[in-house]
Amino acid sequence: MSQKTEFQELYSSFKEKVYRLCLGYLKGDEALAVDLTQEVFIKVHEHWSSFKGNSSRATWLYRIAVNTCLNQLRRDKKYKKMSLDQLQDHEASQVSKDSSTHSFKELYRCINKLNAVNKSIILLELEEVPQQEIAGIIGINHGAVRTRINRIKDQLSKCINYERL
Amino acid sequence: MKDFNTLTKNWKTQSASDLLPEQFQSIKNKQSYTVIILSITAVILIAFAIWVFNPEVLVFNIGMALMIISLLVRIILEISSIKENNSLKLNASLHHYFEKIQKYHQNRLKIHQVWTPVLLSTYWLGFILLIPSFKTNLSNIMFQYVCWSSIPIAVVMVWLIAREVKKEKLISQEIEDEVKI
Repeated sequence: MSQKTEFQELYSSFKEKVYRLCLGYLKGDEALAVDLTQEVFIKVHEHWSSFKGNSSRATWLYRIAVNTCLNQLRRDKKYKKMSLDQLQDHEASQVSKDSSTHSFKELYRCINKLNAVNKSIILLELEEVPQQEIAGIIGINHGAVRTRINRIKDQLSKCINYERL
Repeated sequence: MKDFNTLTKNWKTQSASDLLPEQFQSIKNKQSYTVIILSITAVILIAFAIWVFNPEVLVFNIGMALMIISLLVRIILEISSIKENNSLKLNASLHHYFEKIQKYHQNRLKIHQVWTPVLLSTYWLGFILLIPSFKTNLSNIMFQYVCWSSIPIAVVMVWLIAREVKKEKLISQEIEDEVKI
């Protein structure tokens, strides 16, 4: 199979997953998430030859996705954290748009209270990436991932439920 | 109280397939622009030095040499920094990647805090050494213009360094906070 075909297949299979991952880092901003998803796949294409087969292609892709998302958030002003007011304004401006992301606004807000490592773990968990694979993507052991996922889920449940009151 | 799984059961319904493009355009690296601007300045200075070269005016030649050398060293530092940034392995684990990024920013901080002030001082020392020749060879109005216009340039340079140092410190701190277990 040619590199181009392989890339296109990978893109088709993972674009939605990567998009949702980016959406999680960007508090649900769809336009920025599209930009960032695009950036991730540019990096994937640029680093295509660096895949040595030591892990699955999915793990390799998620590593690039997580690192690119966090890197862009850090470097690029347009991705910098929006304030709560800006986020609400942004949501209000999109209120007429039929989008499922709005139902997750509390979740996004709570996810953004987590640090980069925990944020990445929970976003990968939401995509049902196996925990062993998450461990490989983050660079911590499997046991630590399992413990941490439970703790983060508790944290997020409390955050969402209490903030709704 | 709803549990986490109930709250996230529709997570995968979020979709943007119609928004995602099939063709991509890469972003440009801002650091490359710095190298281009510095290189153009260096080329202009070198051309000027060749044009006005006179072996008998030693102080002037030393001044020109100091200005050119400081610019060339700065260009080399910037290129090595770009190389370091490009060598960061994006397919590394998040922990490993952040470690490398932190090291990269520490090196950037060293460039801004140590190298840049030294090189800037050298550059301005070179400029000061040129002043006697300017006074001799330029008209009074032109000489006054060259001297006075150098002050805001120097102020802007110092401000830019201070801004970069502050930015790099902030980024290093952010990275440290983000990877805390």
